[in-house]
Amino acid sequence: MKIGKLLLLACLPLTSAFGEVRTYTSKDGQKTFRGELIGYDAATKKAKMRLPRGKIMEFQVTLLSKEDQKHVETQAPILQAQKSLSVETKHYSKRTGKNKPAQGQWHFEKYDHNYIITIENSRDEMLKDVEVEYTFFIERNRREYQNKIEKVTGSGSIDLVLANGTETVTTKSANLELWSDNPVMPTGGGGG
Amino acid sequence: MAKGAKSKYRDKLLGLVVHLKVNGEIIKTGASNDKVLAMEADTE
Repeated sequence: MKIGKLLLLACLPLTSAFGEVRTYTSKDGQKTFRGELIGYDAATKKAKMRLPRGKIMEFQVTLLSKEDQKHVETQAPILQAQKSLSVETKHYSKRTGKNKPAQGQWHFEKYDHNYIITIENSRDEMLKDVEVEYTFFIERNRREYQNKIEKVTGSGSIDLVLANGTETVTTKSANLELWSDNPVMPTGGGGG
Repeated sequence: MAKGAKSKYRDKLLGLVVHLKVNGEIIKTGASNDKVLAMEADTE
């Protein structure tokens, strides 16, 4: 595919809704087009892009400016990783506190909740410096919170996801509570 | 539970959303359930 034809097609409006649509410039800097990088073969130096109206084109990356060539080459491993990564979560919790309320006091229990996040890379290539960001969504139900949704965030990092292997990250603990509605009332004694 | 404390206020864990990032760019998103994924999309 000649880049001239490629650029002509790129003048049509973009309808793609996936990935990053970016403006690319030809090697001589004279022409530009917008497209979404969807694949790159480092061996043949062929880039695959989704053009306006969803048309897919493959062409030599050397037809692009040096800056765009560099962009394609740095984005390609990430792009391929997107297709090969999967994320799974496993939840566990434990009670960390419980009071013995005296008369007139409220009963409460406290729990730590955690997830083990397992990331699997099904591709035979490593991916370095992966940051794992996570957010707990917690509904706080005590009277003063009125079912407010609280977001608790945290992060961890994996130096590399091993080829055809898994890595795990354990989240920090999210603290959840249980409270009695009323204070403890006197026991026994009848209703005299 | 002690007498008089039958009714409870219980926090509810709705789930977890996970983003994998490389060079600050999100490359993969996962979640413990679809509901929290939708909630996150709504709040962004």
